[in-house]
Amino acid sequence: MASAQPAEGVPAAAGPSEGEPKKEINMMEMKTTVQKLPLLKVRAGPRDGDEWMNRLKEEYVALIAYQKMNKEAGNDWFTIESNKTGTKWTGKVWFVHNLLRYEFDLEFELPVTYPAVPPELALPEIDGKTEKMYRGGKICLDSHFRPLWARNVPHFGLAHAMALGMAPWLAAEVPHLVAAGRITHQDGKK
Amino acid sequence: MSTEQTLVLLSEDGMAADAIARLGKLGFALVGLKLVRASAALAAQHYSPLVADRGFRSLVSRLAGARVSALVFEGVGVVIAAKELVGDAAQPAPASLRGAAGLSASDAAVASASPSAAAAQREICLWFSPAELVRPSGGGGAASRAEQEAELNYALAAASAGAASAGDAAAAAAAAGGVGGGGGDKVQTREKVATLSDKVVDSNPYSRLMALKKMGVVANYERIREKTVVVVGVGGVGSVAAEMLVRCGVGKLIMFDYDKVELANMNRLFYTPDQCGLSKVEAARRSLAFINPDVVFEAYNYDITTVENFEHFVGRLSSGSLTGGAVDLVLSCVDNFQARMTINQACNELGQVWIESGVSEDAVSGHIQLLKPGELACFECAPPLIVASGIDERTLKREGVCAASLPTTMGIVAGLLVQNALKYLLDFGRVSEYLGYIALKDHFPSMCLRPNLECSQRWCRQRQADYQKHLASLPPPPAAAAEPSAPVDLHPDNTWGIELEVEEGEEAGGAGRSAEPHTPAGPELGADFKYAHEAASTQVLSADETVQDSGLDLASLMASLKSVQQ
Ligand SMILES: [Zn+2]
Repeated sequence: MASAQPAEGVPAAAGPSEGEPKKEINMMEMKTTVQKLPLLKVRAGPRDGDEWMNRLKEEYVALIAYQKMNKEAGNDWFTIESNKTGTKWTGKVWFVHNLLRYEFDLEFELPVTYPAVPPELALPEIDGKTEKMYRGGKICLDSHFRPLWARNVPHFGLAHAMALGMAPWLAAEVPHLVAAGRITHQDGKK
Repeated sequence: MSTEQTLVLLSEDGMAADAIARLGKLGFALVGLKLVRASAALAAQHYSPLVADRGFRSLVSRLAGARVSALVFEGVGVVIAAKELVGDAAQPAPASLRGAAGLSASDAAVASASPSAAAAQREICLWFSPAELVRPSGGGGAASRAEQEAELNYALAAASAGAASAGDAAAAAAAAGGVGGGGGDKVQTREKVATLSDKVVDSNPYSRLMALKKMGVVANYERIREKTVVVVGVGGVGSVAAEMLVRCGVGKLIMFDYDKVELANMNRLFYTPDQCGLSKVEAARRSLAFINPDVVFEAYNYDITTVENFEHFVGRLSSGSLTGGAVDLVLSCVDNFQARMTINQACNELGQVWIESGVSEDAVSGHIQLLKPGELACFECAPPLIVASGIDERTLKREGVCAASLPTTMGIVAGLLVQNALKYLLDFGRVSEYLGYIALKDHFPSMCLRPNLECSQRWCRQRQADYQKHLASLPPPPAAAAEPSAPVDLHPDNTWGIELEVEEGEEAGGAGRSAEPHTPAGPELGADFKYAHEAASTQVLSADETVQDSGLDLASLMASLKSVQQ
């Protein structure tokens, strides 16, 4: 299939390009951040009644810890909230590139089998603008994320998914989207 | 409401200018624009959903040969806005284009807008290639790689299927009374059949199937008419499996899929380019009902993995049969982990037997797996198995590379899947528990997976307890007549109970095969299989690593997160 080749301007497995070393440093930062996040204990999904409510409280505690950490380090980069049952989540994510802030709506529904399967984080606004995205704007996580999640069920929660899934995705994709002219600063500004 | 597109066709130039100005003022974007002399084939395809209506012939003949402006507009709510602008054919509002021009329903002028967003997608595919649609901002007019590819596929499909689609249009026109004087063959449909006959005559659609009974392969083939089968995912494997079941005369078929037919699907079997834009389940239902009108269909166009849809999905499995009870078999033909886990959850909750199928991302290996809750391993009992493809792993899993697919591999896996479904439903032969297919070597490894006593799925553990109770209640079997397929656990020490079927001259789990890192939760597998990932670790976590109970209720936690984020 033609799509088996990386698109132009998307240096997937290609050699080093500008900004690559910086990404490495971010990955290191990310690793230490994740190690500081509290691990969750309750193995329960949206169909598990009271147990799910206990899990949901853990999710909130972990997210609060993560956001405090982000604020203290002066690099808060998203907001998030859920409906009462904790099945639908909305918020905003943003990424600063060349001193300009690109911001997108975050929106996803938890799968009925969560947390055995990871959440599918979505940025519906930029659906169709990058190949690293599934239908509906679900971000395409790299091949390491799913096995990592699977090894850490039920200890990883949404805070981990944001740190390990969304943060590196934005760092990799936003510069390419900007370079390819698929998003402009106005698009991101709300 | 989301962004949608609509197609507007106008034969009067003044109306076209009006439409662009007025919809533009309402904030809708013009993304497609051209002047077309509509061919009879295009006209017939455009109105093909109305082929059974009385007005079909006059609609097609009015559009055929007309010089029309074809306009595509985009925006939230554009479908309704364009319909209002054009006006109703019978009773147009005075301010509408039809009303202002005083057009009556029988007027020769063409003025139409897509009736719905789904219809618009189908129509736009007929009139425009993807690259002809140009958005005012964002993409800067440059077609994305995916769009370029879609265009290429479209051109290839159109070139090779050109004759066929013109034939279709002529056939459709002939069915509606011979528009254009083509005088093509009449479309042949068949009447429903009350009972399966084994009479060997050309007009009996079941004669070759009923011969299975005469030859002693199947004791009672006509029982197929009582069976209800669910196919989840009607893509490359599921659509072919569904067609096989329908041609075999299954009683009822229930289909689930949230996807639409796309040009990028055309390297696979079953769907045709003219179905582009339709939901897969609807396109499949139409084709399958045409192939075999005896089958009862249910088709659901949604994502089964969301909490709301799951309730409905479980409901159809538990009460969707022809008699309102549980379905007979569920076939999983999905292409992702979440959907498989969802089917696993539903079938464990219900105690429903299902068969899983899959094709690898490199398109050269596949598998089927029988899952009987409590008796055989569930999908969560061990990390998913991967069938070896025979390709050096280091050359695989490149970042950013989409999955490949081959119609051959998908057809073979669909064939293995439905073959085993038939054996299960009609009780003949031996149903495979796990059968792999390695295309590069034409090798079919098989094995049996027993359930994991410590499966993390609580419904699986419940079903295992039920099954043990059931076994205990059975009278002891006659000693000599042990069936080879009877579930005998040969390795009581091994909770996983994996039995590898070994080819002659090979040794299961033999020395020299342990190069792979040992997975902590599962036993070592033969060279033909490996786990998709390691199992979750069961290490005990210390208190300072884990979430501490805050003592707060959910509402306070929600408020607290909000204030931290301010
Ligand atoms: Zn299990």
